[in-house]
Amino acid sequence: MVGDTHDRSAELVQLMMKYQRRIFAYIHTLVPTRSDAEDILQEASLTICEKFSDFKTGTNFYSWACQIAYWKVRAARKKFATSKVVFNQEILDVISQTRIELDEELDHRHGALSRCLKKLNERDRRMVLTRYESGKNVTAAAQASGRTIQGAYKALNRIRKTLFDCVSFEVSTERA
Amino acid sequence: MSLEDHEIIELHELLDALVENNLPKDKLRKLEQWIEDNEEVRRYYIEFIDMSASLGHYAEELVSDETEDCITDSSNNLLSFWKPVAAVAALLTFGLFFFKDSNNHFWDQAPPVTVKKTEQIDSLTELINNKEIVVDTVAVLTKSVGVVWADSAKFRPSLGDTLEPCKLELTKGLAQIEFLQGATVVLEGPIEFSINNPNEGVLSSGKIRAIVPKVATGFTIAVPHGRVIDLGTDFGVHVHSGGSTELFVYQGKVVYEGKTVSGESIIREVTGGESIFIDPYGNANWVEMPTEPFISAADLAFRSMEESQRRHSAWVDLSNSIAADPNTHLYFSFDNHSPWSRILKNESISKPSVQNGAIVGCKWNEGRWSGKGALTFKRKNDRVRLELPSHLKSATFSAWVKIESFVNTMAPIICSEPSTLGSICWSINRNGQIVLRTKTKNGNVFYESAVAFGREKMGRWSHIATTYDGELKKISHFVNGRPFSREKLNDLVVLTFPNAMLGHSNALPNQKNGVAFNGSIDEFGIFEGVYNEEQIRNIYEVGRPFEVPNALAPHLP
Repeated sequence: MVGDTHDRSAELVQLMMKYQRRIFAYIHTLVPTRSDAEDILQEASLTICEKFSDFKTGTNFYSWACQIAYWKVRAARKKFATSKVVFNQEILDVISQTRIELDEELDHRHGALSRCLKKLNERDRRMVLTRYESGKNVTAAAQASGRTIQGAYKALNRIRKTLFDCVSFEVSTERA
Repeated sequence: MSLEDHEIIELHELLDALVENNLPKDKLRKLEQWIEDNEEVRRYYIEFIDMSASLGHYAEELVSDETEDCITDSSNNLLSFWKPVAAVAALLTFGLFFFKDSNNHFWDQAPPVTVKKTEQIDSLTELINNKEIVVDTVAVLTKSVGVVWADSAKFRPSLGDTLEPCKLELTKGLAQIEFLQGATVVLEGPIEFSINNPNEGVLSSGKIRAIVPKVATGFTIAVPHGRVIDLGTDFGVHVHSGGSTELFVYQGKVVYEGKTVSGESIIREVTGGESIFIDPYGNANWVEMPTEPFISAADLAFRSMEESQRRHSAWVDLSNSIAADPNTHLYFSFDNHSPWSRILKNESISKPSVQNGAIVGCKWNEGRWSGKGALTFKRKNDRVRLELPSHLKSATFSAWVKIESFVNTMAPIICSEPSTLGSICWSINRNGQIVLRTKTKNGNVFYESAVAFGREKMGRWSHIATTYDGELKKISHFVNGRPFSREKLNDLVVLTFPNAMLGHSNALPNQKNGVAFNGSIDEFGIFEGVYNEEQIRNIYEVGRPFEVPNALAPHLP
């Protein structure tokens, strides 16, 4: 019995490690403010842990976890009612639906982004990755790249567009 | 229904503001509506935000890798566990304290399950709290001549790059570093030199010459057995491979503080014209003169001038080879013209059918360097008329341009008569994007790069290139030798150039007049076929003007 519990715990950790990035990305598309998305991931992770006994081994863990995450987002809407960024329920539903349809493509895009980051010059790469480090903001990115804050906003805008275009191109080339 | 170009630009701006939490409420409502109504917008939104999540993932992965490099082996598995910060926080919440094998990546592989003790969790927390990496600009690389980086050099900055605390390893050449506190240091390869903070460096081996203004008094160089502390001066330090050090003071005063291997403290005050030798055991002795001279900033400036002349010669060689290349259909070097010349010589040797250009209005001016010509386009009718009978399935466009401002809707570089099938217009639009417009049987198609020209590029020479690849069906844009963005070629045509003009566009059917370029051009070419990244990089590297950049100016792209 102890062995069973241990195996289930090991299974949970393995599944979380495998899918956590994708679960977070799913939540992030519903909640575009990253820190809010991180909060919800934390709450969802707790529930996933608590309810893991309901999960049937061999079924789709990612879908199951996303359902929990979706309800967490819904529940959190009250909390975000005063937040700057909040989508209404209809928007959440259509985004969630479209996101599921795009899942495979988004995986390709994630891989392509790694290649596109390598194509950036060192200064831009350092800047954009500094911006996305946990707890860092545009000011930190500006300091890391020796730019003014206004300059950093502009540069980040440009870099994101470059990366987005590059990723789209890479993925379209893969398909061709 | 596909999104129009202007809609994509607007959508990108909205999403950019959204992820930075800067989107006003009215615009958020607009975005919501757009996402709900338009599936393509929805997909774009999801792909954009997903990219944001992925960037966070790669950023954390990088931080973890960098941090792991700095931590001793005993802590490895603790730090690896910390990779996805938010995720780990969640897992800790579970009360499941599982750790991974030190060689596995957190996201990629399932770890072996090991239960750790609470004390280790405490030490993890401590480690996390202490792992903040402070990075900031501390110096700038302001000159370099003939620098060859050591094979082991992990960091290889370019001229003008700002420097954070780092180690510089040169096997040969000269590099000038300006510390933010004000000290200037000339490094002479072979050398190993580390920059610690805005007023401190470490010389492990090699030679430096330091010029320290009063404002940077206290500037410190650590050497094998001690440190040299400046008191407002000009001095040279040479650390030999055997561990001995020579210090020579040109003017002013420095203090050497050190310890011998037997633990004896040594303090020497060295003034202008004096020199000391610290042997491999840390003993300091007065000597007459250092064994070798040190390169000063003035010497380096002189060598930079020589380098500038050498670079000009290299450009002339490249220019001649471009002119002789059979793929070159049109090539203007803008060199060797009289100031009154109204003819712009096409230097392409293999295409005699392509005529010289006829200069209308434009004035001759100085180009990228002294003695090189450029044409300045300022008034609305300034242009160079061209006769270019080429038909190209694939082509490369290359130009050195200096844009003064965007007074018009765009800055046209070369445009041909717009109604003919296959005609083109290569320009930079008001948003700062490089645009290649082609006329196809379905109308005009615009291939736009990401935004490449901001205010920081106004009034500065930049190299741009665009390749039109009819075979692989793609368009690539390059800025200053680097690929900037690529697009799929949707509607293939053979490119033609009827009534082409340099620096001016013909009026489109819905326009009254064409548009003029506002700035200067000092090299331009159209080549048959697609130049690869290396070839374009070469044009940029050989042709870039030799200038010492403004210390902290943006270095783009």
